[in-house]
Amino acid sequence: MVRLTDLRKEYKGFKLDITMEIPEGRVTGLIGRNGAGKTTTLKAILGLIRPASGEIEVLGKKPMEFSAEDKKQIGVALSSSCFSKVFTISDIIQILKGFYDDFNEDDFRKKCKDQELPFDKQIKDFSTGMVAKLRVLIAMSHSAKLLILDEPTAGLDVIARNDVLDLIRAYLEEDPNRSVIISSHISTDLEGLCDDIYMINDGRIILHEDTDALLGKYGIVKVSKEEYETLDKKYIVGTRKDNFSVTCLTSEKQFYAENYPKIVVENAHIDDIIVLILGGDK
Amino acid sequence: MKIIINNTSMIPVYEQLMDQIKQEIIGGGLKEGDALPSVRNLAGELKISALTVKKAYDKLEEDGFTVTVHGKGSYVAAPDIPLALEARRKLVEEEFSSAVSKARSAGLKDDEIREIIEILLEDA
Amino acid sequence: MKGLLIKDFKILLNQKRFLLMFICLAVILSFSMDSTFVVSYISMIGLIMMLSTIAYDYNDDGFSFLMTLPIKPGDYAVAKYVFSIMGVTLFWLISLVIQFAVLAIQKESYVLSDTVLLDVSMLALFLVILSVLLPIDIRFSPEKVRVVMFIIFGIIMAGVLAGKAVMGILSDKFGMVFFSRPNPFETVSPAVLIIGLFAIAIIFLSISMMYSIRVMQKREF
Repeated sequence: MVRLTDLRKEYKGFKLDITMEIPEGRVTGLIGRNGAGKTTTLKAILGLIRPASGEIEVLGKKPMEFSAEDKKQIGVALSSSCFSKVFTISDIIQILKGFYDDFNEDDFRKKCKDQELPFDKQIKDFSTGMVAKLRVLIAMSHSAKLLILDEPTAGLDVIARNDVLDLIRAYLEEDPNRSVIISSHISTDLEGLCDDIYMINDGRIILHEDTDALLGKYGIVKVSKEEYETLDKKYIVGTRKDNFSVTCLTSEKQFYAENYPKIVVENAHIDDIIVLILGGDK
Repeated sequence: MKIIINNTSMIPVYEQLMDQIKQEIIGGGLKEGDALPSVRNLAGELKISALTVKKAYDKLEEDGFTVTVHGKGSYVAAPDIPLALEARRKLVEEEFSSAVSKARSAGLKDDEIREIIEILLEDA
Repeated sequence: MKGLLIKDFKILLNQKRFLLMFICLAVILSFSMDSTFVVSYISMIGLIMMLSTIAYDYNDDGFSFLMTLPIKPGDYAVAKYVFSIMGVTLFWLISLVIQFAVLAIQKESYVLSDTVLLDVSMLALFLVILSVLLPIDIRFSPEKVRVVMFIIFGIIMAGVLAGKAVMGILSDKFGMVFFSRPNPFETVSPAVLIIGLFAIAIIFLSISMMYSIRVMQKREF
């Protein structure tokens, strides 16, 4: 459904070099710090920026050559950009009707009501959470096959974040062939939603795994320095040494749990994985 | 159907899911021909990835507990009685074994453990 | 395309109080000014309003999102021209209504053909100004266009004033008589003049629009 091959783009002090493939019906997460290249990657997928080199194929076409019809199959929520803030939801409904023939007005109104969004208040008077929900609902308003959501939960409290994630889940349940690409710097948002996760740092993909494998196979191994010397490091992918112990990231926690019954093996969260891959000793 | 996923458990989520659905089938909570929830529905409810649910469903089919009708979903298969019994027996064995290891770590001797079981059997 | 026009119309409605105020002001002023004043004044407000819709698109990085909607970048430019031309014309029509209403109330005598000729050429002039300002607005930013707009109106004003002054000096010192020869407006038939003016406006607008479409196609959002 989406394929990026050696996509390159350079800005002052920043280089992007990305290869990824997203099949149909997949929920894919991009995780990384602010400025890691998530938004640039998504903008390239949308044809908003022109890659310096490399191939991009989205829905079988080059995004820069998208026709209006092609774009109707994609629903987008950008992190910093939406309709002008002087509009009300009532205005936006009329505008969306002008853009999409299959704009689902009743459904959109119902969902806005469910989220308690006011119809006749200007967006500039909305709270951050309300704006975030509206953005996601706009992306979902025309039964798009592919949703692209850039940081849909940024700046939200835990309750609002869950509401947004539940909106996405409900959209996915309506049709199993729908795909989502979602970026976030909050890993727990992605853990319970995405099928696979790309970790992006400094314009590069540092890890790509199914969420299932990340949570099921990756683990944290904690050993003393002496134990570390004798440890079989076949499945160790990152280590951090401190004064009293060595913390290792493993891609096969079962192996260490079974072969070294005395050492501590814990489940790893995506945050731990990022910290150990990025911040670990080389 | 009741499913509880333990995110801190060392058992992979798909295995937990698979085991619990198997138990439902063996225990009769799910009967032949019953539909399992759709992959995305269950993923959404449990807040886990759809791929994890799919993996569990695939394994269930592999083990003969369900059949998947393409484009429609997964259904509970005609139960293979000996297989189901075998699975149930295995489950009981597992529970016994964990009870035994608990007993041993509490310092009980093998004879004492046997005694407890005898008493339990008589009571029932 | 339809969506873009609806969006711009909604932005315009958003400024309706502002608009109403300006039009009231124009009506009041027109009682004490030359009757063509109200036409140029309201048309100019119309022009500024049309251009201001671009500023709304620029705000909060709005272009990125607009370009994810089902339009091609060039469509944005086309829609903007369609909307602006319609808008300026609409404001001009409103100004005509006010102009003739005021003339009727004041019971002033006027030559209908001359007034209409002047009004129509005003519309053509505003369309030419639009064709200069729109690409600047689309290519650069709303801030730039404000500067350019000041410069253009400044040049026109300065030109008129300087021309008047020069003519005054020349006729005083050298006894030169202007407009002794037949006024060009009188030798050319009004129909030809109007067609000529609009031909120029259309040429300007077409070149300008093609340029704007190119700008949008080349741009990254």
